[in-house]
Amino acid sequence: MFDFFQIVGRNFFRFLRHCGQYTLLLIDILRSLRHFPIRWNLVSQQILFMGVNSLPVVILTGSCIGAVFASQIHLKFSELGMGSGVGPVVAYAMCRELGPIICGLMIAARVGASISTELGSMKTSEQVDALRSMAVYPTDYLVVPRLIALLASMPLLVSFSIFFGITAGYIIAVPVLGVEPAYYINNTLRFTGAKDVGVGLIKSVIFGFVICTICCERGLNCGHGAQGVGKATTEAVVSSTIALLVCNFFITFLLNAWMS
Amino acid sequence: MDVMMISLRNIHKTLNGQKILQGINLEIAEGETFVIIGRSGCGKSVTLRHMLGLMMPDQGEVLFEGKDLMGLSEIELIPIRQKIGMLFQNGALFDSMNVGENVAFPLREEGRLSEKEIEFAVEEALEMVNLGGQQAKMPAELSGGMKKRVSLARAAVRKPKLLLFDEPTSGLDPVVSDSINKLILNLDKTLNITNVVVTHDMRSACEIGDRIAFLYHGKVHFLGTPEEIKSSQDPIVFRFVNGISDASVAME
Repeated sequence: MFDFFQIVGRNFFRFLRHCGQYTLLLIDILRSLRHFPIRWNLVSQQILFMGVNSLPVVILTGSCIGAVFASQIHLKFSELGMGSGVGPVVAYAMCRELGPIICGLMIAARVGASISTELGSMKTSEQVDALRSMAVYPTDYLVVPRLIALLASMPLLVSFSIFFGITAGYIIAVPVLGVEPAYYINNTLRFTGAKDVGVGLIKSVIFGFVICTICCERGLNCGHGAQGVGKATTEAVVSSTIALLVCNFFITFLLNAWMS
Repeated sequence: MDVMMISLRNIHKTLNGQKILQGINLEIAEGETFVIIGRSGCGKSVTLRHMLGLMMPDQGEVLFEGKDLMGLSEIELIPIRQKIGMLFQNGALFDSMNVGENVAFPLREEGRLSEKEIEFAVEEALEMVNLGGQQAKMPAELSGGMKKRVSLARAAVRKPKLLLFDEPTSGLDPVVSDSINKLILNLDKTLNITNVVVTHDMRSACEIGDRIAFLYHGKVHFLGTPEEIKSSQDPIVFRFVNGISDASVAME
């Protein structure tokens, strides 16, 4: 029993410590933006790595989800004689939920893991201290360019995810499952609008912020050695994924209330 | 009286509940090569980190050219750090950059020189450490000694007023160690840089040091010239200088 409380207490205090470190990083980002010019050369390098190089995986996952979703929806909708309703459902879901979430999860896994591993190994090999010793502010050099790059890349990536998801849904529903294309397209355009795409894009920016800041915080505060880096990476991916899902819940409610 | 480059006054530092420094007092004069020796874990590297403001003391003062670093923010420390260079124990080279980019990094950050001038300064710094023409190599392709020499070139390229060396010869063979020692001496002579060297290599300490401080249990146990430390009859210093283990000391 004592062990149980000890474990709960230890984890609770660890959580509080992470929250404190996360808040300090956010303050540091603001301080850095105030004092130093943005390093656009590093931002462009990071856009290439985080955005452009992530496109294949985002397109692939978006397409798979769109295709599978269309197939599943068609299974039930066709029983009701509403095959052409697959289009708007797929498009609506891809814009508002599936596109941003799937893309966010893939980016948390691909980019988030890479951020925390890179910063973690830089910290353990004293490269972060070397930056400080050379009069470079680590947040300015390591965190801000990554954050701006991910904030800029996420809307683009989510747009691709949505577009390819909807396209894959169309390919499955129309040529494969035989839904009438005119009705499919007409219903999709009727029930899906710019507002739905806007929700997805707003979410994408928030997800980008959450993923980047959590993974940077974990990387910069990682423990010693290879084990410390490994642990930080696991924590970064798990924490950013959970944070992303929890955020998604609240953003959905807020945006629905705001836009209704 | 000599102008003091850096002064540590009554520095106390506790890390993870362990008292590392317990009242360190050091005065390092301009142009001097000052060596800090002591057994592993006695607080040598922690002392060095205080000089650069990488760590702040729990108590005490760190004065760089008379200015107290205590309480300065990271941003306020930037102009001070521009006057200091540091060679880290494992080199701490940026592994995403090649040798040339690593050495050029502090100059590019400073933004004072043109690309042409930076290229020239990098070549000059690498020549100084006998690694001329190696700009394109990546850190992963370098041996331990080469990494330290590149790191030394990077630390010295900006011609700082103060250079800090954390174990510059640890893990290196005697020949490479000797070349590093000669480089430190050369820097002292040619650029009149103040050097602070942390080591547990007695041979290096005596070869390069104008004065040597021996740390023991977080305090300066002995301070003197290489000759004085070599002839010291203090049992703790004597055992360290001559590399004699002692069961009672080992138990501490």
